[in-house]
Amino acid sequence: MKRVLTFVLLLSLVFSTLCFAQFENRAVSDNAELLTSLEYRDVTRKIEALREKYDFDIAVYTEYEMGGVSAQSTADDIYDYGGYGYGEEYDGIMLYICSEERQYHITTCGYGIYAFNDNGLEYLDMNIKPHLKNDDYYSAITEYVQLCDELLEMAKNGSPYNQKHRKVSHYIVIIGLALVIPFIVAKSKTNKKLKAMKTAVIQKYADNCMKDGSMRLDVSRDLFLYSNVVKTPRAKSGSGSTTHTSSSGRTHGGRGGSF
Amino acid sequence: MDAVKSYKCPCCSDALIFNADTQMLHCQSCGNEFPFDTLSELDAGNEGASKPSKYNWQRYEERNFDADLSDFSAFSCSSCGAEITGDSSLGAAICPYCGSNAIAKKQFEGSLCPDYIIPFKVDKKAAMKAFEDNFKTAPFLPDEFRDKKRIEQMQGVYVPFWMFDCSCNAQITYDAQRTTLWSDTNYDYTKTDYFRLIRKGSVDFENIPADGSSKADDAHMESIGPYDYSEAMEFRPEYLSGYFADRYDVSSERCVDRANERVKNSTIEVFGDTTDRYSLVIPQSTCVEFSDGKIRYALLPVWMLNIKYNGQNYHFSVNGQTGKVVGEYPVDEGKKKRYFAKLLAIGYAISAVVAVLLLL
Repeated sequence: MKRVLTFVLLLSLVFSTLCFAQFENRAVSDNAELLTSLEYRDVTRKIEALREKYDFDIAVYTEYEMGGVSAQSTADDIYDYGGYGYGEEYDGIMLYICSEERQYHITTCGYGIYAFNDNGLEYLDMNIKPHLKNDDYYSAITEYVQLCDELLEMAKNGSPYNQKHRKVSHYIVIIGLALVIPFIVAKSKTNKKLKAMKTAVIQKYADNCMKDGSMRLDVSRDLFLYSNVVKTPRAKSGSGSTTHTSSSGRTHGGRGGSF
Repeated sequence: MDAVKSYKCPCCSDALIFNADTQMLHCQSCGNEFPFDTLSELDAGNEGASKPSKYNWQRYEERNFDADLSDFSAFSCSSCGAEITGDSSLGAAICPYCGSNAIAKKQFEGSLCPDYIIPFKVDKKAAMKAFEDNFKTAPFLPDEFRDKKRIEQMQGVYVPFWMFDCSCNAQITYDAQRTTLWSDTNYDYTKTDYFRLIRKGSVDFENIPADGSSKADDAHMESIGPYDYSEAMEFRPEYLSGYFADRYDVSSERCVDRANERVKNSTIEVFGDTTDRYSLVIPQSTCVEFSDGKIRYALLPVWMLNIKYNGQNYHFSVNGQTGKVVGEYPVDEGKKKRYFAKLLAIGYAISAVVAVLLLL
């Protein structure tokens, strides 16, 4: 019995080590001390729950002074050299905030590039930035975590966030077309009926007067002259994500700016 | 010694030079190369088709009636100036061209004899029915317009027509394009092949009508056909009994331009049917030639009706042989607006559902 119990304990220890090994870094590294301890614990708990739920690395990294030349390269380097990312493709997303420079950047990697496409990152940006501007870091990070959950769920269901479903211009285009198309159709159908009201028109042709079988074709030559080939780049139908290569050679997506 | 012939590039019109490597003519501007045979054929085709068209019609010789026409009278409309013939028993109350009752009976002074006549086959009752049946094709017709009494004023007229027959030779060149599309992982490709098509042949036309009455509406008279000319008869005055008959006041020489235009357009079209393998075909040059084109003078049966509505005169013509109706109906603005509103309501209902589905 003792042996069995020891074996089970060992097995569970190995299993839990393996699991946590996937997320060896802290969910929140608040070097700039932007969160209170209570807020820190709350955000950490939420992120860890999401990490487990999606097998996907979600992280927040703050620092007072920027370590690199830009928020993008700093965030990418922290992500790549700091051991972030899940699995072979280093799937994950990280929100980087530099409080002194008032710069931020969201970097994505692996599956994160697919789940957080350009439209998704814009959506995140749109919701996080106002909180950052107000120095409300807790709200910004909470919003970030909540939106990560939302967008990862959409990606999991096979349809990553698409901006056109949300953007005002998309609503305007759909509503505009819904108003204009019926009008054009009704107008053209009415005009067609109106045209039927007038049957007297000057005849351009004399087809009715052509003698049946009278046409004789003596010469029919089709001379090929030249060809012209036009090559146009195909629209990328992939994830809709703009990517760049970090100093480590990995491919990242991302978006950021100042606040 | 033959003069040195220079060729221009069919693509960019730049001068072509001989390429010793390929033994073809090369364009330094666009880089295309052309075999000698192609350019020779191209030149020959262009030369033939770029000649001006020649329409050579015979002169029409007038003939006077040689039958006894003492039973006929001349009718003159002081409103539109129409001079028409009819048998003396006709009441001549209304002018068939303008609907005016200011028509006076005069002494008949002889007229020109047509080469043939197509007798009325559709009587007044059948013509009225054809006209009423035609209301179905006019959805915005005002209800007041269906007044039977007005329709009963329909009058049968033999309208003078010039009939043109010709056997024409044609040489036409077309610029044609054929497009091929394909893609690989990175690019979409559109290949356009450019061709010059040369067509040469002949086609015969018979009985191209052009109305010879200045009072008859040209659009009406050209739309009212076709007539079945196998039923054309040699002219006899008896056919005019009970009907008016107009005589031409527009000479055949003045009508040939209309016939020429229709012959040319139809010739381009019928030869164009042999080019359907191409995605785009544009006629480049056309030369139509014929000689001894025949002109004949015919009287064709037409029922005419004039209806006044809202102070405007609406003129209708019914083919006296086939019952085909042509004209322009007045529009009931109320009916038009209701129809438009109904379509709009249905359209908006459908688009609202589609929009909601797209926005959800």
